[in-house]
Amino acid sequence: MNKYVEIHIAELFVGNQEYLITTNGVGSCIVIVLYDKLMRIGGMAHTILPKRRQQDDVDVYQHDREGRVFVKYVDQAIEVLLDEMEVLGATPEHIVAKLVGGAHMFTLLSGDNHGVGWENTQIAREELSRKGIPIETEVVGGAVGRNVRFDCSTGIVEITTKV
Amino acid sequence: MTHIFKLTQGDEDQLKELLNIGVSHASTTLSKMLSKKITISVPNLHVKSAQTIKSSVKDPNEITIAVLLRLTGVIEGYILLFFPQSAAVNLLHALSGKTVTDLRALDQYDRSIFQEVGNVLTGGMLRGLSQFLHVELVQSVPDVVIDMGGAMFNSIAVAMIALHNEFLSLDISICVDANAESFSCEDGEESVGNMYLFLGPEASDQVLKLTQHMTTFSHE
Repeated sequence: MNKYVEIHIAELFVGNQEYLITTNGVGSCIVIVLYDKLMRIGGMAHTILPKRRQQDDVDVYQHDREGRVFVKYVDQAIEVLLDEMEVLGATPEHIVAKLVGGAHMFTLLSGDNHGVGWENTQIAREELSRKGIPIETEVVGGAVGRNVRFDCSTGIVEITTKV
Repeated sequence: MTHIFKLTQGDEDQLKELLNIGVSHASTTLSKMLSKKITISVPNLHVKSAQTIKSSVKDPNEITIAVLLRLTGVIEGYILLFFPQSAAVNLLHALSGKTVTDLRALDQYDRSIFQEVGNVLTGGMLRGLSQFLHVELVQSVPDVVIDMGGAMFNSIAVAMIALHNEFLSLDISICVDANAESFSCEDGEESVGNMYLFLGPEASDQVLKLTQHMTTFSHE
Protein backbone atom coordinates (compact mmCIF):
# COMPACT_ATOMS: atom_id res chain seq x y z
CA MET A 1 0.00 0.00 0.00
CA ASN A 2 1.49 3.32 -1.08
CA LYS A 3 1.74 6.33 1.13
CA TYR A 4 0.89 9.37 -0.94
CA VAL A 5 2.76 12.64 -0.41
CA GLU A 6 2.22 15.79 -2.45
CA ILE A 7 5.00 18.33 -2.36
CA HIS A 8 4.40 21.94 -3.30
CA ILE A 9 6.65 24.44 -4.98
CA ALA A 10 9.94 24.94 -3.07
CA GLU A 11 9.58 21.70 -1.12
CA LEU A 12 11.27 18.31 -1.13
CA PHE A 13 10.49 14.90 0.29
CA VAL A 14 12.49 11.71 0.72
CA GLY A 15 10.94 8.29 1.33
CA ASN A 16 11.34 4.55 1.05
CA GLN A 17 9.52 2.14 -1.28
CA GLU A 18 6.19 2.78 0.45
CA TYR A 19 5.96 6.30 -0.90
CA LEU A 20 4.40 7.84 -3.96
CA ILE A 21 5.48 11.46 -4.33
CA THR A 22 3.68 13.94 -6.59
CA THR A 23 3.98 17.59 -7.45
CA ASN A 24 1.91 19.89 -9.67
CA GLY A 25 2.36 23.20 -11.42
CA VAL A 26 5.90 22.71 -12.71
CA GLY A 27 6.71 25.54 -15.11
CA SER A 28 10.16 27.12 -15.03
CA CYS A 29 10.87 25.22 -11.80
CA ILE A 30 12.95 22.08 -12.03
CA VAL A 31 11.90 18.85 -10.37
CA ILE A 32 14.89 16.77 -9.31
CA VAL A 33 14.20 13.10 -8.66
CA LEU A 34 16.97 11.00 -7.09
CA TYR A 35 16.62 7.23 -6.75
CA ASP A 36 18.63 4.40 -5.25
CA LYS A 37 17.44 1.37 -7.23
CA LEU A 38 19.07 -1.11 -4.90
CA MET A 39 17.61 0.17 -1.64
CA ARG A 40 14.47 1.57 -3.28
CA ILE A 41 14.86 4.93 -1.61
CA GLY A 42 13.85 8.02 -3.51
CA GLY A 43 13.48 11.73 -3.17
CA MET A 44 11.86 14.53 -5.12
CA ALA A 45 12.55 18.27 -4.95
CA HIS A 46 10.46 20.99 -6.64
CA THR A 47 13.04 23.75 -6.76
CA ILE A 48 12.49 27.24 -8.07
CA LEU A 49 15.83 29.01 -8.50
CA PRO A 50 19.33 27.93 -9.55
CA LYS A 51 21.71 28.94 -6.76
CA ARG A 52 21.68 30.39 -3.30
CA ARG A 53 22.56 34.05 -3.32
CA GLN A 54 24.97 35.46 -0.76
CA GLN A 55 22.62 38.02 0.71
CA ASP A 56 19.70 35.63 0.87
CA ASP A 57 18.79 34.76 4.43
CA VAL A 58 16.28 32.03 3.62
CA ASP A 59 17.55 28.69 4.81
CA VAL A 60 16.47 25.11 4.48
CA TYR A 61 14.24 24.06 7.35
CA GLN A 62 11.98 21.19 8.34
CA HIS A 63 8.69 22.17 6.83
CA ASP A 64 6.03 19.97 8.36
CA ARG A 65 5.30 16.87 10.37
CA GLU A 66 5.10 14.64 7.31
CA GLY A 67 8.73 15.39 6.55
CA ARG A 68 8.48 17.85 3.67
CA VAL A 69 11.40 20.24 3.70
CA PHE A 70 11.35 23.81 2.41
CA VAL A 71 14.12 24.36 -0.12
CA LYS A 72 14.37 27.04 -2.77
CA TYR A 73 17.56 26.41 -4.69
CA VAL A 74 18.70 23.63 -7.00
CA ASP A 75 22.18 23.29 -5.45
CA GLN A 76 20.79 23.18 -1.89
CA ALA A 77 18.06 20.71 -2.84
CA ILE A 78 20.52 18.21 -4.32
CA GLU A 79 22.58 18.30 -1.12
CA VAL A 80 19.55 17.89 1.15
CA LEU A 81 18.14 15.08 -1.02
CA LEU A 82 21.45 13.19 -0.88
CA ASP A 83 21.84 13.72 2.88
CA GLU A 84 18.30 12.59 3.67
CA MET A 85 18.53 9.59 1.36
CA GLU A 86 21.77 8.50 2.96
CA VAL A 87 20.13 8.74 6.38
CA LEU A 88 17.51 6.27 5.13
CA GLY A 89 20.24 3.91 3.89
CA ALA A 90 20.89 4.93 0.28
CA THR A 91 24.45 4.90 -1.08
CA PRO A 92 25.58 7.64 -3.49
CA GLU A 93 27.10 5.10 -5.92
CA HIS A 94 23.66 3.60 -6.59
CA ILE A 95 21.79 6.89 -6.97
CA VAL A 96 20.58 8.07 -10.37
CA ALA A 97 18.78 11.29 -11.24
CA LYS A 98 15.81 12.30 -13.37
CA LEU A 99 15.05 15.91 -14.25
CA VAL A 100 11.66 17.35 -15.21
CA GLY A 101 10.61 20.95 -15.89
CA GLY A 102 12.70 24.01 -16.65
CA ALA A 103 10.15 25.27 -19.15
CA HIS A 104 10.03 28.72 -20.69
CA MET A 105 6.31 29.47 -20.59
CA PHE A 106 6.26 33.25 -21.13
CA THR A 107 8.59 34.93 -23.59
CA LEU A 108 8.02 38.20 -21.70
CA LEU A 109 9.73 36.85 -18.59
CA SER A 110 13.14 35.96 -19.96
CA GLY A 111 14.44 39.38 -20.98
CA ASP A 112 17.77 39.06 -22.74
CA ASN A 113 18.84 35.78 -21.19
CA HIS A 114 17.59 32.21 -21.53
CA GLY A 115 15.18 32.43 -18.59
CA VAL A 116 15.02 30.89 -15.11
CA GLY A 117 13.95 27.47 -16.46
CA TRP A 118 17.09 27.12 -18.56
CA GLU A 119 19.33 28.27 -15.70
CA ASN A 120 17.67 25.82 -13.30
CA THR A 121 18.31 22.97 -15.74
CA GLN A 122 21.95 23.95 -16.31
CA ILE A 123 22.71 24.21 -12.60
CA ALA A 124 20.98 20.90 -11.88
CA ARG A 125 23.12 19.20 -14.56
CA GLU A 126 26.31 20.83 -13.24
CA GLU A 127 25.64 20.03 -9.58
CA LEU A 128 24.69 16.42 -10.32
CA SER A 129 27.79 15.97 -12.45
CA ARG A 130 29.92 17.48 -9.65
CA LYS A 131 28.45 14.97 -7.21
CA GLY A 132 28.97 12.10 -9.66
CA ILE A 133 25.24 11.35 -9.97
CA PRO A 134 24.32 10.21 -13.50
CA ILE A 135 21.22 11.70 -15.11
CA GLU A 136 19.14 8.77 -16.34
CA THR A 137 16.32 10.75 -17.96
CA GLU A 138 15.52 14.37 -18.68
CA VAL A 139 12.20 15.86 -19.76
CA VAL A 140 13.14 19.52 -19.68
CA GLY A 141 12.64 22.77 -21.56
CA GLY A 142 9.87 23.60 -23.99
CA ALA A 143 7.01 25.90 -23.12
CA VAL A 144 4.74 23.52 -21.30
CA GLY A 145 3.57 23.07 -17.70
CA ARG A 146 3.99 19.63 -16.14
CA ASN A 147 2.72 17.51 -13.25
CA VAL A 148 5.05 14.84 -11.89
CA ARG A 149 4.39 11.54 -10.07
CA PHE A 150 7.23 9.43 -8.70
CA ASP A 151 6.86 5.90 -7.37
CA CYS A 152 9.63 5.12 -4.87
CA SER A 153 9.00 1.38 -5.16
CA THR A 154 9.91 1.26 -8.86
CA GLY A 155 11.70 4.54 -9.59
CA ILE A 156 9.20 5.26 -12.36
CA VAL A 157 8.42 8.93 -13.00
CA GLU A 158 5.17 9.80 -14.78
CA ILE A 159 4.78 13.22 -16.33
CA THR A 160 1.45 14.79 -17.26
CA THR A 161 1.08 17.70 -19.64
CA LYS A 162 -2.16 19.23 -20.80
CA VAL A 163 -1.44 21.02 -24.05
CA MET B 1 13.56 35.46 7.66
CA THR B 2 13.57 39.24 7.29
CA HIS B 3 10.59 40.61 5.43
CA ILE B 4 11.29 43.20 2.77
CA PHE B 5 7.77 44.59 2.73
CA LYS B 6 6.79 46.56 5.79
CA LEU B 7 3.34 47.76 4.88
CA THR B 8 1.05 49.48 7.35
CA GLN B 9 -2.72 49.01 7.20
CA GLY B 10 -2.86 52.50 5.68
CA ASP B 11 -0.39 51.49 2.96
CA GLU B 12 -2.41 48.39 2.15
CA ASP B 13 -5.63 50.40 1.94
CA GLN B 14 -3.97 52.91 -0.37
CA LEU B 15 -2.70 50.20 -2.69
CA LYS B 16 -6.08 48.47 -2.80
CA GLU B 17 -7.85 51.74 -3.48
CA LEU B 18 -5.43 52.49 -6.28
CA LEU B 19 -6.18 49.14 -7.88
CA ASN B 20 -9.89 49.88 -7.50
CA ILE B 21 -9.45 53.14 -9.38
CA GLY B 22 -7.57 51.43 -12.19
CA VAL B 23 -9.88 48.46 -12.47
CA SER B 24 -13.04 50.57 -12.49
CA HIS B 25 -11.74 52.17 -15.70
CA ALA B 26 -10.94 48.74 -17.12
CA SER B 27 -14.35 47.32 -16.21
CA THR B 28 -16.14 50.19 -17.96
CA THR B 29 -14.30 49.25 -21.15
CA LEU B 30 -15.11 45.56 -20.77
CA SER B 31 -18.72 46.41 -20.02
CA LYS B 32 -18.95 48.27 -23.35
CA MET B 33 -17.34 45.36 -25.21
CA LEU B 34 -19.73 42.80 -23.76
CA SER B 35 -22.80 45.03 -23.33
CA LYS B 36 -23.17 43.61 -19.84
CA LYS B 37 -22.95 44.97 -16.36
CA ILE B 38 -19.51 44.35 -14.87
CA THR B 39 -18.71 44.33 -11.20
CA ILE B 40 -15.36 43.86 -9.54
CA SER B 41 -14.54 42.25 -6.24
CA VAL B 42 -12.78 43.90 -3.34
CA PRO B 43 -9.03 43.68 -4.06
CA ASN B 44 -6.91 41.15 -2.20
CA LEU B 45 -3.37 42.03 -1.23
CA HIS B 46 -0.72 39.47 -0.41
CA VAL B 47 3.03 39.61 0.05
CA LYS B 48 4.36 36.55 -1.77
CA SER B 49 7.65 34.77 -1.27
CA ALA B 50 8.99 31.27 -1.94
CA GLN B 51 7.26 30.09 1.24
CA THR B 52 3.88 31.51 0.33
CA ILE B 53 3.42 30.99 -3.41
CA LYS B 54 1.86 27.56 -3.01
CA SER B 55 -1.96 27.47 -3.18
CA SER B 56 -2.07 30.82 -4.95
CA VAL B 57 -4.32 29.42 -7.69
CA LYS B 58 -7.70 27.88 -6.84
CA ASP B 59 -7.55 25.01 -9.32
CA PRO B 60 -3.90 24.68 -10.42
CA ASN B 61 -4.57 21.83 -12.86
CA GLU B 62 -7.35 23.56 -14.78
CA ILE B 63 -6.63 24.70 -18.32
CA THR B 64 -6.55 28.47 -18.15
CA ILE B 65 -5.75 31.35 -20.48
CA ALA B 66 -3.08 33.65 -19.10
CA VAL B 67 -2.43 37.06 -20.60
CA LEU B 68 0.75 38.59 -19.23
CA LEU B 69 1.84 42.20 -19.75
CA ARG B 70 4.91 43.93 -18.49
CA LEU B 71 4.44 47.33 -16.92
CA THR B 72 7.20 49.85 -17.54
CA GLY B 73 7.72 53.55 -16.95
CA VAL B 74 7.65 55.14 -13.51
CA ILE B 75 6.23 51.95 -12.00
CA GLU B 76 7.56 48.55 -13.08
CA GLY B 77 5.84 45.23 -12.63
CA TYR B 78 3.60 42.70 -14.32
CA ILE B 79 -0.11 42.51 -14.95
CA LEU B 80 -1.60 39.04 -15.31
CA LEU B 81 -5.09 38.23 -16.50
CA PHE B 82 -6.39 34.73 -15.79
CA PHE B 83 -9.41 33.37 -17.65
CA PRO B 84 -10.50 29.90 -16.48
CA GLN B 85 -11.72 27.40 -19.10
CA SER B 86 -15.51 27.92 -18.86
CA ALA B 87 -15.35 31.70 -18.57
CA ALA B 88 -12.84 31.96 -21.43
CA VAL B 89 -15.04 29.84 -23.73
CA ASN B 90 -17.98 32.15 -23.00
CA LEU B 91 -15.92 35.29 -23.36
CA LEU B 92 -14.67 34.14 -26.75
CA HIS B 93 -18.24 33.39 -27.84
CA ALA B 94 -19.43 36.78 -26.64
CA LEU B 95 -16.67 38.62 -28.48
CA SER B 96 -16.31 36.67 -31.72
CA GLY B 97 -19.42 34.47 -31.94
CA LYS B 98 -17.16 31.44 -32.15
CA THR B 99 -17.95 28.32 -30.14
CA VAL B 100 -15.09 26.15 -28.89
CA THR B 101 -15.27 23.37 -26.33
CA ASP B 102 -11.62 23.20 -25.39
CA LEU B 103 -9.26 26.13 -25.00
CA ARG B 104 -6.34 24.06 -26.25
CA ALA B 105 -7.94 24.08 -29.69
CA LEU B 106 -7.75 27.87 -30.03
CA ASP B 107 -6.06 29.11 -33.17
CA GLN B 108 -3.92 32.19 -33.64
CA TYR B 109 -6.97 34.37 -34.34
CA ASP B 110 -8.71 33.27 -31.13
CA ARG B 111 -5.55 33.89 -29.15
CA SER B 112 -5.29 37.36 -30.61
CA ILE B 113 -8.77 38.11 -29.25
CA PHE B 114 -7.48 37.41 -25.75
CA GLN B 115 -4.43 39.50 -26.52
CA GLU B 116 -6.79 42.32 -27.38
CA VAL B 117 -8.84 41.75 -24.22
CA GLY B 118 -5.56 42.05 -22.32
CA ASN B 119 -4.73 45.27 -24.14
CA VAL B 120 -8.15 46.76 -23.51
CA LEU B 121 -8.39 45.81 -19.83
CA THR B 122 -4.84 46.75 -18.97
CA GLY B 123 -4.94 49.86 -21.13
CA GLY B 124 -8.10 50.98 -19.33
CA MET B 125 -6.51 50.33 -15.98
CA LEU B 126 -3.26 52.13 -16.77
CA ARG B 127 -5.11 55.09 -18.23
CA GLY B 128 -7.03 55.40 -14.96
CA LEU B 129 -3.88 55.14 -12.90
CA SER B 130 -1.91 57.54 -15.12
CA GLN B 131 -4.64 60.15 -14.82
CA PHE B 132 -4.80 59.74 -11.06
CA LEU B 133 -1.07 59.67 -10.37
CA HIS B 134 0.00 62.02 -13.19
CA VAL B 135 2.72 59.65 -14.37
CA GLU B 136 3.32 57.80 -17.59
CA LEU B 137 2.74 54.06 -17.47
CA VAL B 138 3.52 51.87 -20.45
CA GLN B 139 2.42 48.31 -21.14
CA SER B 140 4.16 45.71 -23.29
CA VAL B 141 2.60 43.60 -26.02
CA PRO B 142 0.51 40.92 -24.26
CA ASP B 143 1.91 37.39 -24.04
CA VAL B 144 -0.91 34.81 -24.28
CA VAL B 145 -0.30 31.29 -22.93
CA ILE B 146 -2.78 28.44 -22.54
CA ASP B 147 -1.81 25.76 -20.03
CA MET B 148 -2.40 24.63 -16.45
CA GLY B 149 -3.03 27.64 -14.20
CA GLY B 150 -0.66 26.48 -11.46
CA ALA B 151 2.37 26.06 -13.73
CA MET B 152 1.78 29.45 -15.34
CA PHE B 153 1.27 31.29 -12.05
CA ASN B 154 4.34 29.60 -10.54
CA SER B 155 6.51 30.60 -13.52
CA ILE B 156 5.60 34.26 -13.09
CA ALA B 157 5.95 34.13 -9.30
CA VAL B 158 9.40 32.54 -9.65
CA ALA B 159 10.50 35.29 -12.04
CA MET B 160 9.40 37.88 -9.45
CA ILE B 161 11.14 36.02 -6.60
CA ALA B 162 14.32 35.75 -8.68
CA LEU B 163 14.33 39.54 -8.97
CA HIS B 164 13.04 40.64 -5.57
CA ASN B 165 12.83 37.68 -3.13
CA GLU B 166 9.40 38.99 -2.12
CA PHE B 167 6.74 40.68 -4.18
CA LEU B 168 3.36 42.23 -3.77
CA SER B 169 0.36 40.57 -5.40
CA LEU B 170 -2.84 42.58 -5.73
CA ASP B 171 -5.72 40.70 -7.29
CA ILE B 172 -9.39 41.20 -8.09
CA SER B 173 -12.14 39.10 -9.67
CA ILE B 174 -13.98 40.58 -12.62
CA CYS B 175 -17.63 39.53 -12.64
CA VAL B 176 -20.32 39.76 -15.32
CA ASP B 177 -23.97 40.09 -14.27
CA ALA B 178 -25.71 36.88 -13.34
CA ASN B 179 -28.08 36.85 -16.35
CA ALA B 180 -25.51 35.31 -18.65
CA GLU B 181 -26.33 31.65 -18.05
CA SER B 182 -23.03 29.93 -18.38
CA PHE B 183 -20.61 32.38 -16.86
CA SER B 184 -19.65 31.05 -13.49
CA CYS B 185 -18.53 32.85 -10.40
CA GLU B 186 -18.32 32.51 -6.68
CA ASP B 187 -20.84 34.19 -4.41
CA GLY B 188 -23.59 33.92 -7.01
CA GLU B 189 -21.96 36.41 -9.35
CA GLU B 190 -20.54 35.55 -12.73
CA SER B 191 -16.78 35.73 -13.04
CA VAL B 192 -14.93 36.42 -16.26
CA GLY B 193 -11.54 36.14 -14.72
CA ASN B 194 -8.95 37.49 -12.37
CA MET B 195 -6.56 40.34 -12.72
CA TYR B 196 -3.28 40.39 -10.81
CA LEU B 197 -0.86 43.24 -10.38
CA PHE B 198 2.62 42.14 -9.30
CA LEU B 199 4.99 44.76 -7.90
CA GLY B 200 8.47 44.46 -6.45
CA PRO B 201 9.51 46.41 -3.31
CA GLU B 202 10.84 49.43 -5.26
CA ALA B 203 7.71 49.70 -7.40
CA SER B 204 5.47 49.39 -4.37
CA ASP B 205 7.41 52.15 -2.57
CA GLN B 206 7.16 54.29 -5.66
CA VAL B 207 3.38 53.77 -5.87
CA LEU B 208 2.95 54.66 -2.18
CA LYS B 209 5.10 57.78 -2.57
CA LEU B 210 3.04 58.90 -5.54
CA THR B 211 -0.31 58.27 -3.85
CA GLN B 212 0.82 60.01 -0.66
CA HIS B 213 1.98 62.95 -2.75
CA MET B 214 -1.38 63.06 -4.54
CA THR B 215 -3.32 62.85 -1.28
CA THR B 216 -1.24 65.61 0.34
CA PHE B 217 -1.54 67.72 -2.79
CA SER B 218 -5.32 67.36 -2.94
CA HIS B 219 -5.62 68.34 0.73
CA GLU B 220 -3.59 71.52 0.32
